[in-house]
Amino acid sequence: MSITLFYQRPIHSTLYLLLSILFTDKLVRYILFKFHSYFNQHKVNVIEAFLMPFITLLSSLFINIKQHKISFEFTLYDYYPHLRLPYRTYIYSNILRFVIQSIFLVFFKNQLKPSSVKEDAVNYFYDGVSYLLRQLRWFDLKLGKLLKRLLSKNKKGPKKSAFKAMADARVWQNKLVKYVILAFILFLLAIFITIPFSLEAQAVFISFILLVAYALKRVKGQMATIVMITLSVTTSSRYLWWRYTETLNWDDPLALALGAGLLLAETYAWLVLILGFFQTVNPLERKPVPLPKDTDLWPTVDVYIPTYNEPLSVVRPTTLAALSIDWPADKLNVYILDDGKRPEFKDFAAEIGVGYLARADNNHAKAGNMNSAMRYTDGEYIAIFDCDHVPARSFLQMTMGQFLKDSKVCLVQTPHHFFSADPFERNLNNHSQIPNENMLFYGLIQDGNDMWDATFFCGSCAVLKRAALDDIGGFAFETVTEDAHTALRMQRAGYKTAYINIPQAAGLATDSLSAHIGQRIRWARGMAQIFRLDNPLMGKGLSIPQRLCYINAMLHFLSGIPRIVFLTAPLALIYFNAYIIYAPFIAIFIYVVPTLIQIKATNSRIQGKYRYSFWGEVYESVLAWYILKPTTVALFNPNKGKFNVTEKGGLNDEEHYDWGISKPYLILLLINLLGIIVGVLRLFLGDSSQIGVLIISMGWAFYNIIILGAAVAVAAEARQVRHSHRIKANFPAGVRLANGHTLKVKITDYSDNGVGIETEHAHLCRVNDKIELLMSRGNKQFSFTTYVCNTRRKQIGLTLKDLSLEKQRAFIQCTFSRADAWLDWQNNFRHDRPSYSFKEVQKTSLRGFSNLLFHAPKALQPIIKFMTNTVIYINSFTPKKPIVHNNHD
Amino acid sequence: MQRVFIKGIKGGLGSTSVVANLACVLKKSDVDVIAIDLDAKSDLGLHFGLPWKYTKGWSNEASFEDALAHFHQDNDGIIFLPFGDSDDTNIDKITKIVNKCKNLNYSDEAWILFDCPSHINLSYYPLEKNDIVIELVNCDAICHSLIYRRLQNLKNSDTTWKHYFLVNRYNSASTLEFDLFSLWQSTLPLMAPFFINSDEVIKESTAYRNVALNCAPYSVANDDFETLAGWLVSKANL
Repeated sequence: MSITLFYQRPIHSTLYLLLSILFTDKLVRYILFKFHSYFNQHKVNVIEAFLMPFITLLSSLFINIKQHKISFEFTLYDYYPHLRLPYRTYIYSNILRFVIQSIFLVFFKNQLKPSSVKEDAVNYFYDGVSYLLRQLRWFDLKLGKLLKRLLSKNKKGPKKSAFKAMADARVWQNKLVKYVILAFILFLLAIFITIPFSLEAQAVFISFILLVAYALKRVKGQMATIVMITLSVTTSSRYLWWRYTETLNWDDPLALALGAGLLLAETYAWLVLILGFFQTVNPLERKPVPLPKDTDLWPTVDVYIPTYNEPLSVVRPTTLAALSIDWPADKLNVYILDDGKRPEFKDFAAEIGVGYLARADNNHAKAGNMNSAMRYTDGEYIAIFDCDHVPARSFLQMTMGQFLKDSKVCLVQTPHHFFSADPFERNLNNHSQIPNENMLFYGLIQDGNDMWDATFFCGSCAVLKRAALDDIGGFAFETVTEDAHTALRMQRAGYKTAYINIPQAAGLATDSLSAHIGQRIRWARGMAQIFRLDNPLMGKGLSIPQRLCYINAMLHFLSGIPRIVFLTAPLALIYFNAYIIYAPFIAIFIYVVPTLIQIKATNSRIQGKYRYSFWGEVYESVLAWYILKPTTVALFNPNKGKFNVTEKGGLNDEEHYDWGISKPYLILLLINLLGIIVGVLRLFLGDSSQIGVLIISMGWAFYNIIILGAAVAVAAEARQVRHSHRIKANFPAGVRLANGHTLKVKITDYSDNGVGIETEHAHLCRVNDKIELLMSRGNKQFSFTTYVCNTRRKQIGLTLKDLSLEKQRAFIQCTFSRADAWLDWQNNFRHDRPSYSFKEVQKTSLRGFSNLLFHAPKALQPIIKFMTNTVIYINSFTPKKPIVHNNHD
Repeated sequence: MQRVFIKGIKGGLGSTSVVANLACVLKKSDVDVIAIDLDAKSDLGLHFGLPWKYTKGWSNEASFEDALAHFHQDNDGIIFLPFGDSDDTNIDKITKIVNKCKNLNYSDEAWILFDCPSHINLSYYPLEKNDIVIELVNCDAICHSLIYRRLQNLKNSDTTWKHYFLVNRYNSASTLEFDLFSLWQSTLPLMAPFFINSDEVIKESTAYRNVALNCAPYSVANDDFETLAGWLVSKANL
C-alpha cells in the first residue's frame, strides 16, 4: 500500500486498512471485490453492497457455498416455480407466495416421502389395486377370446351346416309356422320389456346385459352386432316402459307437463333409435356391375349440370370433367342448365361444345329447370351433377351396369364427397380427423337403405332412368327437396333404386355456418313437406321397410324440439323443483345410466367408422333451433316457403364470430350455467333428501354445457383465404425444367389453378421459374406451363397461368377426374373409441368457451380481460408442485 | 437369347443412346446384356466409357474369332462390341456378325442389342420370328411420312419378326408433337404405347462418358427406359 495510492483513493484505502485489522489479506480483497461488483455491476446500493459479502462469508461458516453456489438458484426455482417470470419483479406479493409455498412444502411435500408405516400401507394398497386390475384385464381378455372362439365356431364349424339346414328347412315356408314363431318372439320381447322388476332385479338384469355387451366388445362380425342391437332394443324399450308406467308425477301438474314433454322427446329418440337399427342392421354394400364389352349396347346418357347463381369458375371444372367421363362420345351429351341466363355461360358452353339450356321463367327452381331440360334432350339416362361436383372419369362405368342388369332400376346414387372442409370441420379445425356430418349418411345409412331398396336420391352425383321419370311426370317440384320426393314417387311406381358407395365425384362443402344451416333448413323443410303432401306411411306402392326408412329420414329432421328438450330438461328440477322423472334417485340411476351406456356402445359399434360418439349430439344441437321453426311451419302449412340456393365457393376474409347464429346456443348455455350455480347453492342450502336427484340433474346439465360449448365453438368462423381448395393427392408426375432437365416428382396436392409437388432430389428451382409439368392420363402425356410460386426443401408450389380451354380440360382430366381421386375417402378414419371421442368433444367445448371470451364485444373486452387477469393473479398464489428433474445427473 | 434390333427410321434420332440406356436398365435388373454396334460411326462404345482413342472393333478383323478380342465390359457389367474403323464394310459382313453372335456361348436369358445404322434396310438383316425390331421415330412430319412408307413396305413383305415404332425425344409441350403422338396412338398399328421423354440429361451424360441412367437416376427418362425394358420383357420370348 503505497502513499501515492492513498492520495488517489482515500476512502478505499481507509476501508482497506480497517478491514485488514479484522481479516486476512485474502478475505479483504474478496470483500472489496464483491463490494465493487455488487455496487458497479449489479447496481445495489452502497450499504447492501457492503453487507452482502459479509452475509456470504457468514453463511459460508455453515454451508459449503462453493458446492451449492450454482445449483442454489435452480433449486430455489424448482421448489418455488411461480417466483420466476412474470412474477419475479413483484417483490411484496412474492413474500406471500414464498410463505404459502413454504407452508405447502413443509406440510404436504414431506408427506410424499415414503418413510412412515402409513405410507407403506398406502403403497401396498395401490399395488394391490393395480394387481387386481391387471388380473381383471387378463380375465377380460381370456373371456373375450373364449367368446370369440365360441361364436366363430358357431359360424364356421360343422354347426353352420346344421344352422343352414335349419334355415333352409321347408318348415319356414309354411306361413302359419312363420307367424307363430314371430308371435312367440314378440311375446317374449313384450314380457322382457313389460315385466316389472324390483330395483334389485333390474340392477341384476341390466348388469347382466352390460356384461354380455361388454364381452362382445372384442367380437367382430354381424352376429355380435345383431346381439348388441337386440340387447339395446330390449333395454331401451324396458326403460321407456318404465318411464311411461312408473315415473309420471300425476299429483304435480307442472312436473307432469314438463315430464310429459321429456317423455315425448324420449319416445321420439327411442323411435329414431329403433328405426335406425332397422335401417342399418345389414348394409348392402353393393358392388358395381361390369358393362358389356360391346359399346354399341351402352345406352345414351345426358349429363345435366343445373346452375343458378354460381360463378363460372365453379361450373367450369365440373363441365370439363363431365366431358371427360369415359363413355362413347356419340352417346354422351353434356348440358349446362342455366337458370341465371348468363351470356358468359352460353359462350363458354359453345366454346367447349356442350349444350346450353335456359328457360323463360324460373318456375319450380331446380326441379323445374331439369324438367324443362328434359323436353329438349333425349338420352335414355340422365346423370345429374350439382355445378360444383366434379365427376371422376369412371362415374358412368361404375354406375350404369346396375341399369343394364335390372331394367327396374331407375336410380343409381353415389356418395357426395366434399374436398373442402365443411363449416364444422373448418371452424373446429378437424378436417379429415373426425368423420364429418355427411359421412354417417353416405357411408352407412344409404348402404343400409339400399338393403331395403329404399335408397334416396340426393340431387347430385346420380344417374336416373328417363323412362321412369317420364312415368311419374318428371322431377317432383311440389317440395323444396325435389330429390327425395322424386325417388319416393319412382319407388311408388314400382321402380328400384340403388346406391354404390364409391365416391365418384367431389364438390365444395358449404362455406359458412349460416349457409350450412340454411341448407339443412331447406332439407328439413322439404322433408316435412313430403311428410305432409306425400306421406310415405300412406299411399300405394311402398314396401313396409321402405316406409320405415323414409319415416326415419323424416323423423331425423324433426329432431329440433326433442334436442332442445334434452338440452333444458335437467333444469326443470333445478329451477322449479319439478320431478320430471318421478322416481327415487337410485331407480333413475339404475335405469338411465346403463341404458345410455348400452345404446352408446351399440351405436359406436354400428356407426364407429362414420360417426364418432357424442358428435351427433353436437351436430344436432347446432341445427336444433334453426330447423325447429321451418319443420313446424312446413308440417302445418306445407306449401309455404321457397327454394333457396346453397351458396358455395365463397371466402371469409377474416376470422369472426357469428354472434347472430350462435345466439340460441348462448341462451341455452347461459341457463344451463346458471342452473349449475343454482344447483350448487341448493346442494348446500336445500333439502338433503334431494341431493341425489340434484347431482344427477347437475351432471346432465354439465353434459349439456359441454355439448353446447362445442356447438358454440362452431360459430367462430375461421378464415378461408384460398380461392380454390387444395386437394391432397399422391400420384407420380414429371417436370421439365427450363434447362431441359426432367425430374420425377410426386403430386402432393392440387387445386384448379395450382399444384404442389415433392421431389426426392435436390432441385434448383427458384420462385417465378417457368417449368413444364408433365402429367399422364392413359398413354397420353400432357404438359402444362407452370410458374414456381414457393419452394421449400423438397416441396415446390406451382401456379398454372392462362391455360387455354383445351389445357384446362386436360388438367381436370389429369387431376379431379382421375378414377382414383376420391377413393381413400372413408378409409382414413379409424373406428370410434367413445372415451377418446368424448375427450375430443370436451376439448372442442373448451375451445368454444375461450372463443366466446376472445370474440366478446368490444364493450365487454376490458371486463373479461380484468376477470381473466384476476383469475390468473389469484392462481399465482396457490401452491405449485415442485419441479422434479428426472435426470438429475 | 433375345435379340433386339434398334434402328432409327432416319439418322440422328438418338438410337445409340437408347441402345446404351436400354442395355444399362436391363443389366440393372440382373440379366446379361450384350450390345453390338453395327453402325459404321462406331460410337456405342463412347456411351459405355470406351476411350475415344480406341478405334478398333469387329470390322477390323477378318473372322469372328479374332473379333472376340474386341469385346469389352463396362463398369455395370454390360458386354459390348464396337464397330471399329475399317472402311470396307458391307451388308454381308454385318449379316455375318449378326449370325455369328448367335454362337456366343452365353446364358439363354441373355439379351443381345444391335445398334443398327439407319441407312441399311431391315430386310437385309437375317431376322427371325422371335426377334424384336424397334424403329425409333421423332414426333415430326418427316417421320410421319416415313412411318407410312415403312408400313406400306411391311405390309407388302412377309415379315415374321416383331416390329414396333417407338417415339424418342418426345416433348408434350409442343402442340405438333402432342397431336402427332395422339394421332399415331389412335390410328397406327405397331406403335409402342409409350415414349421416351426428351431430356437434357441424355445429352449431358455422354459428356460424363456414361449413360443417362447412371447420371440422373431421378430423371423422367430413367422411368421411360424402365418402362421400355419392362415392355420388351413382356414381348420377349425367353
